[in-house]
Amino acid sequence: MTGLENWIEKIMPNVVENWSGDTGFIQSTKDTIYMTFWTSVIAGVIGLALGVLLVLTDDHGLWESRPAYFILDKLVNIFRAIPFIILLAVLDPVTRALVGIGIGPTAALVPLVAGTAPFFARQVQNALLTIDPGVVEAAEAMGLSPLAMVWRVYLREGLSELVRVGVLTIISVIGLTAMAGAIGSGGLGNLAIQIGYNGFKNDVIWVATILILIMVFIVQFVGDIIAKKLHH
Amino acid sequence: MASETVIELQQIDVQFSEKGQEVHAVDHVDLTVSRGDIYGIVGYSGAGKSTLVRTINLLQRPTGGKSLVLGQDMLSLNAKQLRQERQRIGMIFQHFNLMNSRTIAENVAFPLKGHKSKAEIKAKVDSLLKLVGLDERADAYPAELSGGQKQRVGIARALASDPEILISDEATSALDPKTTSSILDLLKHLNETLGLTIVLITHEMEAVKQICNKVAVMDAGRIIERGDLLQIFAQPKEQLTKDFIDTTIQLDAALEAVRQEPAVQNLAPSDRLLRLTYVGASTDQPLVATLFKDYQVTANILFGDIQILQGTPFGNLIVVLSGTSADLARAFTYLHDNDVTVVALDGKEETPA
Repeated sequence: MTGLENWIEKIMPNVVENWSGDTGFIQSTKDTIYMTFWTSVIAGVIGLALGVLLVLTDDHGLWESRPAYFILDKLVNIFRAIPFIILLAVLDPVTRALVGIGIGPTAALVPLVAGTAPFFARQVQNALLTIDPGVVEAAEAMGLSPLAMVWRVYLREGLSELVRVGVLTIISVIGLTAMAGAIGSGGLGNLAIQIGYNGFKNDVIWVATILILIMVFIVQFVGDIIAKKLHH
Repeated sequence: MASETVIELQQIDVQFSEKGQEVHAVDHVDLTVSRGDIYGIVGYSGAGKSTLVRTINLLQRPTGGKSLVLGQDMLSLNAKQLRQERQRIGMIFQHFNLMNSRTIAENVAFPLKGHKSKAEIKAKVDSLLKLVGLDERADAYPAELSGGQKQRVGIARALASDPEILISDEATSALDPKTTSSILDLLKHLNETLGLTIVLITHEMEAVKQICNKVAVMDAGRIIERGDLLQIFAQPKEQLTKDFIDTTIQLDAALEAVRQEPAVQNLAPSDRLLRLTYVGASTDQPLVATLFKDYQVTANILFGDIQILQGTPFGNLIVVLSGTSADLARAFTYLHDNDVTVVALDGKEETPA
């Protein structure tokens, strides 16, 4: 053993002890990344679709429809109003029906998506509302079809803003995965609470926190670069 | 000159409720535009101009009336036919409405994507940018351009699908006077070279004066006066029309200055302070000389403004006429016979003929 390893072992004995294994740091980091990635992808697609529909059905939208907007708007609000920790419990039967099991990272995806998609939808809606209505009108005057309008105007003109709210959402997903530990999802949050907090192992809490922070920083950093590149 | 009608709006009516209030934006308006016209619609903001022109390409659906454009009854078209028809009607806007995420060339190519091959689009975009004088800036983004340049991009984009009609919605209102003038010149050039019919809405009579051959004045959702540019300038009937015309000759400011002059302050009882307006042929007559030679009436010119409208002079004079009342009466008859409009500025009872 080198001096450095000795030193690490000395100041963070519990981290070293919990490094590998089923609930160790390596597996937990993988679980957190797994949950964050798939939640972002699935909730991203659903949220994007919902957000676009909210804008299109709103007053002066391309598919202006009071009833459709009302239903979508309320649906998004209700899901956003339920605290995530309660959503985990409420959706348990749904999770079991969909995934076949109530615990673990894959099972956690169900409440994670349900909690994230409405949040992202609202963010998408706000991002798209920053697009100059004049640009939309100009495209309409050129005779664009509604689908082309969504694809070539809304999503293209709003892209930089969409990336920005996307980053915000991914970071909030990382936060939610930690809470999903409450239903035994695994992941760094789970590790910090189950082993660190409950076992009075402060070094585990600290290292788990640092790893989560590193993930957040990487997402923010990459997102900022992309958003900046897209903004003209 | 009986030319083909390209736009015919019949009894167009637009009402909507905004925040619980009923707005009657356009009130049973008829409008006929012939091929090759540059038709100016002038009015203050809120007069309903923008709403009216949007019923041409149905960006605004009228609540009543008919919109016939290029032989099509616009309201009878289905969504797909309407989109095709819209490609024959270009539109430019006050705030340009360019796409900030795309380069100048991409903005101009935007309406063509999916309709033409890549090579065709490139050739078209190149020629359009050359036409509006921006071929050097093809790869710039809108944020890097000045207002006038942005509007040139807007025009190039509007022309991409080879429209027969161009709707200009306050296209020069956000620009300074010099840039405004150059954009108007460009529109006139397009009108002459491409035979483009232009409907131009504005609150600046100056813009109408520079390029339009027809003008309509709008107020509170109605067209209150319309006609050939020269006819409207020569003989405006409505007060609002007169006000708009006066903005082009800064008559208010001139009048204020004139009233301070000794010649006006010390007006003899028989002197008359008048405004003379004339168009075209009248100006060929040596007006002031004739007044003196044939009627023994002297004219003291305090303010003069002569503009050229469609190649025809349009003159406005503020004068003090002095002479006996009999001579003045005969002079007024002479002026009237020569199509000179006389307006009393001294507030005297007997209005001149």
